[in-house]
Amino acid sequence: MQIGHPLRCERPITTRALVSTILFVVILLNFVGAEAAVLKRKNIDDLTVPELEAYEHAIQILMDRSAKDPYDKTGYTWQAWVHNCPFIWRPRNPTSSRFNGQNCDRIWRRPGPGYDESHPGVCEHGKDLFLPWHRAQFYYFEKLLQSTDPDGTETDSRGKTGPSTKEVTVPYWNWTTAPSGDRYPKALERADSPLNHDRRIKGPLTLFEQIMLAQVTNPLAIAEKIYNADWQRFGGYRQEDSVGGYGDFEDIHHNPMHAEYFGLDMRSPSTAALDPGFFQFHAYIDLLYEFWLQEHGPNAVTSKTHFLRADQPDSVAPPPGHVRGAGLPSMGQVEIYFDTAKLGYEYEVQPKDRLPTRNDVLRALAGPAGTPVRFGETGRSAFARLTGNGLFNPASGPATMIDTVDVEIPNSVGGRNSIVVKLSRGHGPDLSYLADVYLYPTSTTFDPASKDIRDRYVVRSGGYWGRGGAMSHGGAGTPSKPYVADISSSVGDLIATGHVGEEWQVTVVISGHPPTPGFVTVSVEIN
Amino acid sequence: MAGIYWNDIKTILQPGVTCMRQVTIGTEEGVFVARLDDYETVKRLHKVIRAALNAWRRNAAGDAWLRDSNGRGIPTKAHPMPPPPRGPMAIEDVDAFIAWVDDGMPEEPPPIA
Ligand SMILES: [Cu+2]
Repeated sequence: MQIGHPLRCERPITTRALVSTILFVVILLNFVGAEAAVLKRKNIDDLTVPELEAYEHAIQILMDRSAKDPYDKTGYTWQAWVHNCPFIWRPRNPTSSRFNGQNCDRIWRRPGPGYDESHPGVCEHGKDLFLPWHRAQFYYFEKLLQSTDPDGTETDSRGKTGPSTKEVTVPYWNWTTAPSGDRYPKALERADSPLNHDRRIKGPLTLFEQIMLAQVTNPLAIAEKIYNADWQRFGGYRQEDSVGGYGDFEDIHHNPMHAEYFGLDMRSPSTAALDPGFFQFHAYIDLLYEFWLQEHGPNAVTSKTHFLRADQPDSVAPPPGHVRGAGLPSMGQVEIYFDTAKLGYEYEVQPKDRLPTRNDVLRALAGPAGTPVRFGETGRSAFARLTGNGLFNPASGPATMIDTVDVEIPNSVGGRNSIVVKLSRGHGPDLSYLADVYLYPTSTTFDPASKDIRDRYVVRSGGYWGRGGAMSHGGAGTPSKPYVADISSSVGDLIATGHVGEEWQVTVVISGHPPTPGFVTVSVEIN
Repeated sequence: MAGIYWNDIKTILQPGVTCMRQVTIGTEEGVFVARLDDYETVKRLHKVIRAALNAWRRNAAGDAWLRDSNGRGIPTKAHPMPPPPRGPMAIEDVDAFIAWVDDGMPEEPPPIA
């Protein structure tokens, strides 16, 4: 059938063609619509002046809301509590509260009749929910930022009106490259910026810090973890599992960045997100999660249907696929956070923000024969080649504690976590520390000041992130978790190269902020 | 049949009730306050509770906790409970919890036929 009037192209238009044309237009419109909704998260150093101003304006409005009412879920303090605060008594009338609201409280008894039990949230750490949980937290945070002043007509407490926050995203700080400011991106250091924060370490890295943190910010070490398809090794272990805890990224990179690079508020999960730099730091970690997902897809990610705990404001629409689950309000399940386009963002990655390639990693690990080096056969272990030779700097004074245990090289070794060095915490406050693990033959005298020995025998080096005050529960005691260093692959290399039955030693060097000697016991466990 | 019922378990978990009231746990069903005095909650969170209680090192026979030189338990995994300084609960109680879980977490003894 033909439609009556020929068009200039002289080709008669059939209904079929018309339908497909309309369909095409509809699809195109949809496509354009969807496209417009996906915003770019950029490197904070690449933001235009108006983009940075919009982000600062949005953050300032959140902070202003909290200054008025710290219990406002759409304010900065509550959003920090989503990360920092498992429990708080929420006053029905915030102006009558005798709490300043900065700190999450640990009061067992209801302070008065006008208070309700409330659970703002807790970050997930030391398990496979670490990366998904922070992604979910950022989804809500970003939507909240966008809704602060979409029309650009609000005046914040600095007296600035606008610009529109409609297209604000959380910019990331690529902390594997040299900072544009003294220690952080310039945007975090400007004196009048809401992104500046008193309670963080300031000033350029000292020489000691540079040496120590080089391995923490080492892009090659991070790249190797991205290319490894073993999700749990990268992302952490399930909370129901009897072994495990941190994935490699979390203790080797994330934890020392919190404790030693930012320090102060960032040193503890119970205060970390009060530092606005938290969001730039963790946005980059979300980009690393994205890199891993792009490499390997989400199939291997564990705990996909786990619900992510947090009490977020009703004004933010949850992401597609969200179901509330039973019990308390939540951010929904891990699996709805795999596709960032559905969450309304994607990353802009300039060449300077790309990680080293697979080949770079292979090259770093290759011995003279071109094959991967085996532990004990070379002057630099795989860990030293990829990452570094330990976080303790002998030039900075004595280590907090050095402990040595014997280990007999067994005749076989299972997979990952089959031989672990375990640092078990007894008593006392749950503080952050750094731990370097060396494995060497009994005939060698271990000297933490010897570069040769460190290079040759380092098997693992990372940090434990203590929970500090507000997250502890149990009065005098605090939850303590052992810090586990998997040495299975190094021992596997020793078995393969004729060392079965030999006595070797494991030495753990503990340093960092303020733990006292003897606060952990070191053991080697064969599972 | 282990012959262990909710009342026994409630007694075992009693010392942790106040403390755990402030803790939320994400599971595959949703997010819950760890109310250790509530049967439905304990049933729901049994996997996590079991892993947390059974998170201390045992001797080779598996019937006693290993202790460090100060007599304190030695944790084996990420979130051992109860936390130090209280340390592990009596090993018999942990085993009772495990047996109760393996038995299907009965609330009450079956009625006599
Ligand atoms: Cu963090």
